[in-house]
Amino acid sequence: MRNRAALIALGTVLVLGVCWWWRAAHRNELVVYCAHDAIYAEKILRGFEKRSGIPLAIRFDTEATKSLGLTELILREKDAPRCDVFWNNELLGMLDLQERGLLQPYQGPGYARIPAAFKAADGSWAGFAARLRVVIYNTAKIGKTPPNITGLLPGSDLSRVAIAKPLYGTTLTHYTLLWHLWGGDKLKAWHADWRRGGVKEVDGNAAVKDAVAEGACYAGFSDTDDFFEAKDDGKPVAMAPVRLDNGRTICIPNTVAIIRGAKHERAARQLVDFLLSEETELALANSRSRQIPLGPVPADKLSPEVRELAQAARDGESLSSLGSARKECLAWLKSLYAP
Amino acid sequence: MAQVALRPVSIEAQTALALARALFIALLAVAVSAPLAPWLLVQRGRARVIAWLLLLAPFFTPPLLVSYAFAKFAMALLVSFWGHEALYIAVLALKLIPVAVVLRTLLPSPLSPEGRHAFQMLAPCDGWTRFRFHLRAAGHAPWIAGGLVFLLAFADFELASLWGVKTWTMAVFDAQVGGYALGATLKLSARPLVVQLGVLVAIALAKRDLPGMHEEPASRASRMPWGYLTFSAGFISLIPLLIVGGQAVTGIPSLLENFVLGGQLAASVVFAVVAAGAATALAAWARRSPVLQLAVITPGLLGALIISLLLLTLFQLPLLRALYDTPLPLALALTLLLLPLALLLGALWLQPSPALYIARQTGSRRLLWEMETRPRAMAAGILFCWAYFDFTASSILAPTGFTPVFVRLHNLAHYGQTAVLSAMMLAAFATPILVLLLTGTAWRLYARGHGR
Repeated sequence: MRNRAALIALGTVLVLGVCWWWRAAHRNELVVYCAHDAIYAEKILRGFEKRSGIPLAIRFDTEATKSLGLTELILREKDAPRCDVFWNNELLGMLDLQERGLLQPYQGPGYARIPAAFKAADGSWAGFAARLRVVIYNTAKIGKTPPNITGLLPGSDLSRVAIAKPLYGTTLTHYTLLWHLWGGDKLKAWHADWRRGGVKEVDGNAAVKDAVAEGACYAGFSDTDDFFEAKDDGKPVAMAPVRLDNGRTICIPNTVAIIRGAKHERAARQLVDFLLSEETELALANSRSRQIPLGPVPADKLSPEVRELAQAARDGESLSSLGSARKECLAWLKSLYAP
Repeated sequence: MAQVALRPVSIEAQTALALARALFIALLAVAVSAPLAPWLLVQRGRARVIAWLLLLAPFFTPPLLVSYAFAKFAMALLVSFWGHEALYIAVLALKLIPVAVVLRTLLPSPLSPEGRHAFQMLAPCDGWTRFRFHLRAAGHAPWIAGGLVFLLAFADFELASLWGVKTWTMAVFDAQVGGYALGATLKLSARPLVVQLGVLVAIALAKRDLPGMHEEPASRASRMPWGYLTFSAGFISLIPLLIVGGQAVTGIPSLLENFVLGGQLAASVVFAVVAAGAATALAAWARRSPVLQLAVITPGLLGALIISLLLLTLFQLPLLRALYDTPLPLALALTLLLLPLALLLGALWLQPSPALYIARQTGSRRLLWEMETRPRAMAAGILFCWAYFDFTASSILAPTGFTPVFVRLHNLAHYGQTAVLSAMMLAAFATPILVLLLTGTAWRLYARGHGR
């Protein structure tokens, strides 16, 4: 009995010792939560780490829970934040965190170069390297003319059209924008028509891209970065930016913010400035994902594709006033998908 | 604009769907395991080893490998609800049938071969009577095996999430990422949990009443079992491995040039070793009392998602906050998740018996190896693999910067199949095999060196 008690005590001491050592060994790391695709973001972040000498601990998210998963995690950790810098791949989650007072304003040189439409007035967050919401379609199946899938009549057969589950990611931004512009009733009716038409709801934009690229579906809503993945792989796909009823496009920036209570605020500021710099925007623009720079960059350093996207991005609908629409739209979607 | 009612798919409907699937898979597992288990028991020599390898391969093939390899096939079935559903059920069934077979090789039949033979000589030959006889002759083993397969199929999350299948675990997951409070999520999973607990209690009661062991007679030469084993191992393990291996050939040099997975592989192995060790020790401690057993297995039955969210909340409490961003929460979660399996393996393989007592008394190394050491090593290996392949708990609880490999692979898998990613998959799947082989070899060398 005495032996067993000693063993338990020894085990407890060992566990606590390992935890203490762990925390001590990682005390100086700048903790980054990153919802952007790891395959692109890691190179950028490791570049910063190498240059600045600041060690980073990066937490990436999985495709299905992208952005909302990390936003939720930051909310859950609000009493003891471990994240210093949040690199989100969309805006709405950041607006939610801002509204709850979880972001630490910072207006550095990076913030200064981003246009006012893509940053919080108080410096809570700033946008960079955007992508467009697009209709991706399979040219081998339906030719080269972009289909008008948004304007399909009620009762249309949508069994060959794909859309990501709108509960998270940029599809949630898309739905929120429609909620804001159309009102809840019209969006609900539209969504009901789509479901009745047999639209294929998949787990993420990448799955939409795959379904269209493989010809299982003929068209769907996705983002420019996913479209370019398929195009670079030689798939028979083309895309057209989604145009809202007012003719505007949906341009969704990456966003970055320092979390209130961050333990490494000075290092966090350095990283935020780095991410908002021309260098990072160019690196992301010239990667396979072709992100659209939001700050000024020399045009000759961009590919013709990105220059064309930048043109469409200038027609982007403002997203910074969608806070309340997001709440209402998300509440409806939750009642639909997780009743 | 008129209000259009859009009926949500309720958690009850999704639970019912999962229930129907799990029931079907369990029945299938019981039917397939009936002739397969006795056949396996009479195999000898090399045939026995090959048969067991073919049987267990699908169970230990991680869902990510299967879904990654069959991504294009699954995509082509996207437009057909039944096609998509059939693929999911087929893969899940082929992965879980080995569980039923293993259990039935370990659980006794109440009827001796002589009794069985006498029945065949004397009883009327109508099909219904024969069916009832075989059902009774099998004792509780089919129900226990079926019950366990049912539990595993019913609680499946990973394969369902990879293929976007509607099931209650996905609804709970959606609720979480959609920002539901933990209490609301737990409420959502209350009914499925009641179903799981009910089945578990039934298994426990059936296990208690098991009579003595009799080996069922079977023909060693039958070709049907070989056909089934080759098909299941080929479809679930070999074809995906060949697809991934074929793609990986060109990716291996790039991966070796810039081997980015080292840290994550190490994290996976460390967490798996710690969790397997802790679960084995806790299971051995809990075996002394049924109340303790129930207490330690209940958290694991909540599933990885619920356990992880509960621990996330727990380690946010002021008292435990200092331990939050450390390896402890994930190690704890994996241990809790392994405990039901650890106890089950212990109950099946590590029970003290008169034979073991005699083996200990005689000090026969060979007998002790057969009856004690080997089952222990196999149980530890199974627990290690189970923890190594975890995705859900790791994605929620891993400390920042020490993330297990499958979180990264899941993240990368959505870019589609590439040579480098296939090479990464191969490396991730080869690692536990390598660890087990190295450990086994080291153990043998040690035993030989110490004259054991």
